[in-house]
Amino acid sequence: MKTWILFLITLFSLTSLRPLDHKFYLSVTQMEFDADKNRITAISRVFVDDLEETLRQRYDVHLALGTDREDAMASFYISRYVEQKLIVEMNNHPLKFTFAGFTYQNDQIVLLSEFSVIPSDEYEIKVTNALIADAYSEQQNLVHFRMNQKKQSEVLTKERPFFVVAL
Amino acid sequence: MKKLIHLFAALAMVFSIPLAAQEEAPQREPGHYNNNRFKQLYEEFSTPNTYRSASGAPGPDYYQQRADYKMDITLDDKNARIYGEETITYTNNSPDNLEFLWVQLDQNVRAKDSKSPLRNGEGVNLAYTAGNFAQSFMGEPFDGGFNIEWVKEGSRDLPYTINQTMMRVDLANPLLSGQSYSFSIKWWYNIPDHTVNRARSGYEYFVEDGNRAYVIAQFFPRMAVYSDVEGWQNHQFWGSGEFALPFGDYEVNITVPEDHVLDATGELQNRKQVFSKEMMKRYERAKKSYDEPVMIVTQEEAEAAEKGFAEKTKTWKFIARNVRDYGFATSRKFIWDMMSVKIANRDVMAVSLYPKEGNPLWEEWSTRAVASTLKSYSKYTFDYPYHKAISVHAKNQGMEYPMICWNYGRPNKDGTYSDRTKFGMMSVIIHEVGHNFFPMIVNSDERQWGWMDEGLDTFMQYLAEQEFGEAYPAAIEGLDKYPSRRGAPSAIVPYMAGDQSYIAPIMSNPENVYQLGPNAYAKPATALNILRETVMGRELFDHAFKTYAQRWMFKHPTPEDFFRTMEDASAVDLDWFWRSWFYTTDYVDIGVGEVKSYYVSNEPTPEMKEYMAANGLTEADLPPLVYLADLNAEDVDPNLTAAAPSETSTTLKEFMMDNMTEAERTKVKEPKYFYEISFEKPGGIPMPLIVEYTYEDGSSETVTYPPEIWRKNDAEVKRVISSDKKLTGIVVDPKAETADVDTANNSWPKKEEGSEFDALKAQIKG
Repeated sequence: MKTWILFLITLFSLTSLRPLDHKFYLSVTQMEFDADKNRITAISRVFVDDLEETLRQRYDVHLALGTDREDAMASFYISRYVEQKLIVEMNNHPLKFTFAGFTYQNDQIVLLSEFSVIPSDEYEIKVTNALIADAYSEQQNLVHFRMNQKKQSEVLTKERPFFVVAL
Repeated sequence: MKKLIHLFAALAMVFSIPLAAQEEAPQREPGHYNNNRFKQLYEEFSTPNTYRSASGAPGPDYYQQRADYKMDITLDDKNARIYGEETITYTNNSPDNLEFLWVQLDQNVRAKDSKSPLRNGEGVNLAYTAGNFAQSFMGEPFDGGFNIEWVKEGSRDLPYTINQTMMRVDLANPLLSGQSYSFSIKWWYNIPDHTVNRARSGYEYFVEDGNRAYVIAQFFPRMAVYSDVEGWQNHQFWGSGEFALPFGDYEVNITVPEDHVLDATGELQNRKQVFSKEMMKRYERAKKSYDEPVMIVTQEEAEAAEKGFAEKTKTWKFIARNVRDYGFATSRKFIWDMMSVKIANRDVMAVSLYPKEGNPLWEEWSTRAVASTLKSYSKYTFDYPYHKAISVHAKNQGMEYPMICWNYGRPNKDGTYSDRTKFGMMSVIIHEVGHNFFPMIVNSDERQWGWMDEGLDTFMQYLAEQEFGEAYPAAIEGLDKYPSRRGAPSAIVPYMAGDQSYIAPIMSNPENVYQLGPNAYAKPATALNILRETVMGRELFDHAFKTYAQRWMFKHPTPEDFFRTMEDASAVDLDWFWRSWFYTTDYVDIGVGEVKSYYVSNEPTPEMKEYMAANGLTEADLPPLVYLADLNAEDVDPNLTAAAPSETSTTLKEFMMDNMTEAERTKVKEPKYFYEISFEKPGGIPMPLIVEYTYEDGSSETVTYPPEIWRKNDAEVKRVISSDKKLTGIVVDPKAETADVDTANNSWPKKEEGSEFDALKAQIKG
């Protein structure tokens, strides 16, 4: 945690006051247990340039995300990547992942993921989110998990990329 | 005695003393200070004095120092060095005698021995790009920073001491109040490549043609501010906290290669010497062109000049009056266009300088964005007082100086560009040109308070962007309004709802906040937008904001001067607003809780009976009363609930017979439906309670309860609504005006919030 704060400060010191820049590595994922439809949905907002750079390092591709020249393979690589980094386990079994698409909001890319829930009497849910952390060790992934009208928020790091839902 | 009982009972009714108050007192609680969110800001604000008035205006003894500069600057393009000799005339308008002067050496943040890179911890990265690795572990640190050759008064050397980015010049005799003092400094430094480690100024090197484009600022030793609030503002320049600078006049001669195109702060004095005849002709044309930029140097000419590399030099001479800083841009790569813009009855020149790498975007939109920005900001503050405003294209830059700023936004090599690049470029130009007003003219202390210029400027940027979109529909083709990133209340929700360990109040020094963007730019801008649209209304806000701008133009305001003026000029008590939005990290969360339905009854309700029993009262002890009974209680008589109140309450009927004429009685509208609605406030910030009530016939009305509704109970308030129509829905903050961080509690009946996930999914598919 402390390193993260220090890192943030480091970043600020190096960056100019460019008003439209982000100066920190952070994503926000809103997850929701939707009991009616037996699914868990996830909306992840990640900075486009962070994802672009991560996929470049990982797959050696230049996808030009969010530009007029976006690579036709973008969806393939994004889906493949998210499936490996955003994982939900229920009662010790990983849930089936479906990538439901992506869109852009300003300088962020919005990633939609769905996990199929097998109805059960008891749920022990473990969420792992290691998006971007393979390229930027300082990445912080904030996850809000909603279930039964309650919310649990966790900040996940490369060192501790998962949590168990306690709602 | 009976009368007393009556009185007590009646009082209890009128004030609806909660029944719980009658129960036995719990264990005595300790007392407390005034923790009310509406408490006066006396503890946070400094006491007004004769320098700064309680109204927020400059006081009768307000003073500010003055620094006038005469400088000769030479650029060595081959070696990327800059040399200067300057004479500063410093005027001490303060009542104090000064034993020494502080001069700012901002370039020293790039010196080999700079403490800036050392003040932060670091860890080993998981991976490095080769370039990063080389720079981190193999590179020689850049040999930047000022080389001070001498500091002199006349021909006599002055002793000086350099502490990082601050230089103390010791005087033989104190500079007395009211006196002026002239001294000179000779210096040079190596200009950094600003694209490598994001310096605020420097050069960009173009490999293809071997040229550099220079954007030069913080390039000369500058006087620090001495003021009534800080004494000397000699807080070091670490990188984030920008500048505090006194006003003055500048006479600057800049010598560059003769094939360079240059523009700078101030009026060009020798235009005929540095312009070709053709350029002069075009310049004359530009003075009369109000809707289209005129090319002073075309792309063709700039591309031809790229191949030059003249040995000879040319000196450009400028005079700038009443500015707080100085900057210039120069390169043989620059294309140059200008267009006139009318501000009140004056002509101001909107100017752009850009290398061909900025086209086709820059020739199309830069100068137009400059002109539109000057108009919008002038409308809300004061007429732009300088004679020109320049937008210079520099890769990755977004920095502001008087009359001149550097802006990013570069198309792809083939000339194509995304909407993100286009709107990013327009937005940064509007923002940086807007900085001419805050802080170049309304000269706040950026080193201390980043939000005072960034927040106010970002707020104004939102208005100016919207007006730019209206003025130039072609710029936003395909959209119905300009896609502003900041300003809308909903946009700040993710930040304000975020992890409290990484949020600092707006009233923090810019060096010490976690996320400078949301902290100093977006949150104050949003707060002001909410103040304007929802709390004060446009008319009151705009007048107060303009009053602040005009009171403090060409002066040095503090946060309190702003806060006080906004109240002074509007008669709106805003202490609660400043406290919660600026001094805390609180957030807004207001919702609707329980809704109870009632009907009029002639009989005391069970609760009333309980109350009477507890107080030893009988019905005979009470005056005639009207009762509202719980509609959801057991054994409700359906005949009563459907009837008009005067039919079910004999007391009411009697009152009406005694006090109203027949005509009045037939005209009176009797409500049939009564509701007690609880509003809850889990969030810390008190805000106006905006409620939309919808009735069974589909009609709706919006009631705005003032924020003061929370002054006595910060957690929950109740309101009673009566109507002749059945209430079917309640929505708090229906237009999302308050930056409510959790809207799950904003509706009654509780709305199954349509899944955002499914909405986004449908949008992607569609």
